[in-house]
Amino acid sequence: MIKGYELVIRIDMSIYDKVAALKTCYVFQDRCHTSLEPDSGTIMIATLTPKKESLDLQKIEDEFLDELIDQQIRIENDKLFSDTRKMIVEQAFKPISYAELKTKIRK
Amino acid sequence: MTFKERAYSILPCRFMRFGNERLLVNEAGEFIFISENDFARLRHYQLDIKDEIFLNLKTRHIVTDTDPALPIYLLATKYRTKKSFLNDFTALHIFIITLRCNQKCKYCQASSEDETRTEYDMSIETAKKSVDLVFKSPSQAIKIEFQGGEPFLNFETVKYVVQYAQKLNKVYRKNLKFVVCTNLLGLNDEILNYLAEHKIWISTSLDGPKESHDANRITRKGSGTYDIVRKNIQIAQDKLGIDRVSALMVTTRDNIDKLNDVVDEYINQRFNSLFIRTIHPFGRAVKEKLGYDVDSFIKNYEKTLDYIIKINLDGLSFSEQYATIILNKILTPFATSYVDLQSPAGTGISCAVYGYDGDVFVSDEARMLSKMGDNRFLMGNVHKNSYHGIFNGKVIRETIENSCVETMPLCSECAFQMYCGADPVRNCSVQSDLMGHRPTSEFHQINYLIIRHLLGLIKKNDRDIMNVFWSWITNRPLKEIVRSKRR
Repeated sequence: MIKGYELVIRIDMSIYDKVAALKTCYVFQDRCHTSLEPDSGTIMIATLTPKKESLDLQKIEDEFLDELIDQQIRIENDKLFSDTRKMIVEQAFKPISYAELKTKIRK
Repeated sequence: MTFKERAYSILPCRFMRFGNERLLVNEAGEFIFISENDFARLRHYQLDIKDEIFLNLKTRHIVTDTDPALPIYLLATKYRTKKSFLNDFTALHIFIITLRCNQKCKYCQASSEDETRTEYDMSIETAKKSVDLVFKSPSQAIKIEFQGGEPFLNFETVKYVVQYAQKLNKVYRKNLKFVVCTNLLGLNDEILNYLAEHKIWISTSLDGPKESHDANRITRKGSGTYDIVRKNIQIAQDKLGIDRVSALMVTTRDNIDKLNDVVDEYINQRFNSLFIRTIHPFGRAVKEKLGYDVDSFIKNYEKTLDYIIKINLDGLSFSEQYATIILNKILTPFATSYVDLQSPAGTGISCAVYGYDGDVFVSDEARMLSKMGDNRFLMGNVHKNSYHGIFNGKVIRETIENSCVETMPLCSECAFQMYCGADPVRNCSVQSDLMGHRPTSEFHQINYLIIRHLLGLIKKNDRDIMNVFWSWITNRPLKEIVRSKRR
């Protein structure tokens, strides 16, 4: 919601993690001053104050909501796939870990 | 229907709508197209296990009517084969022999320096330390690629690297190969004889006919280079053999709607393949606005692919390399060694770049980012850090952890996952984020559309086109493929 020169966005924390909300605010700090405060119930309020008056607030709001979903999906994916990733990365570095082990044995 | 009443189990797979059918792909990249009706029956456990469709799905380990342990074991074996490129840590080592260049190409991503600036040459000391590091790689196959600038301008260091690496290899006994990436302007008899004697391959650049080539590939004084490049390609092919000289092109706004002419030029120059490469959004390419939109690239790519297929059907063996890489991923159980379309990305684990000053980067694009002040992909320096400090450090680990498509948003569910890859350096350069944002990424869009186009052609199952594809994959003449299928 645009309020004067500010953008006030309601975030339902029953859908989004606090980390996703914080990271999203952080992404916009090149263009806006940001704050995140609790409202009633599960609602958090993100307030974005543009650093330049010429910024299109509607565009920023749309981008903010897209970014919020992107950040939340990363968190959900991490919950689902972090074990898979660990296994893949471990496999990727297996040759070098093996080489390190051989060096230690030689010493 | 309870779990016990089901006649079969569904194994892990990814799927997507594909025209009026569904594409299903298993964890190892094996695929099948089925009708929407069969897909509904599959997921409601209504398929008859004697039906042909069930048996086709069972062959691809998408369903099983027996203990799942065996199909999962088989899938795991196939998965390991597809990911076997991980065993070659690190196979490709790129040496930036000098930043000096006798050309000033409009799309140069390497930030070249004037020919007189010898302070940008790799010293013998840096070269020695770099080669020492290369031979610490566990990979049995080692390819050292000389890049620049123009490597012929510091040919003494090229010679030193070759001789020192060959000396070390008497002990290490690796499969050692050298490639020099050169614009060929400085080719002379002495260099040519050396390349022949030491079996060094040439990779040069050719953007098409004179008009397209000279639009971007110019000398520092601004004149076109086509005539001398054409002459020197022929000289090099005659001396080293046609197979030892290859060329790469860059698609720019100057040749994007003339790609068929680029194909003809490559054929005229006795090359047997073309890699239709997009321009990289780095360095001067951005400044000179040489890019184009995704739709324009895809439209021209598909048109040119049709043209190349027709050339093959008319009797000439000629392949498009990017399609060949993807077809390999789709149609064979094997891994490819192409580092730009891997998961995890090839950055650092499959390819490393040694700067003229000894800085080691995860890729050449990472070196370019460093030149622009962003050092996040700098793994270390050959003078300061150990092999394990560089290749098992925080930079490479963070890059790899963020380049597994199996875990990335959108990619994790994508049916094309096994055919695709990640480019964390490009993501950082274009989207300021290691993982990137697929819905707005041109890298994602281009790969998605090319894979979809190739799968569409495979789905048609046209005998002639499939024979052409298999001739590309197996690197055999089309006639031989046709003959072997008749037997």
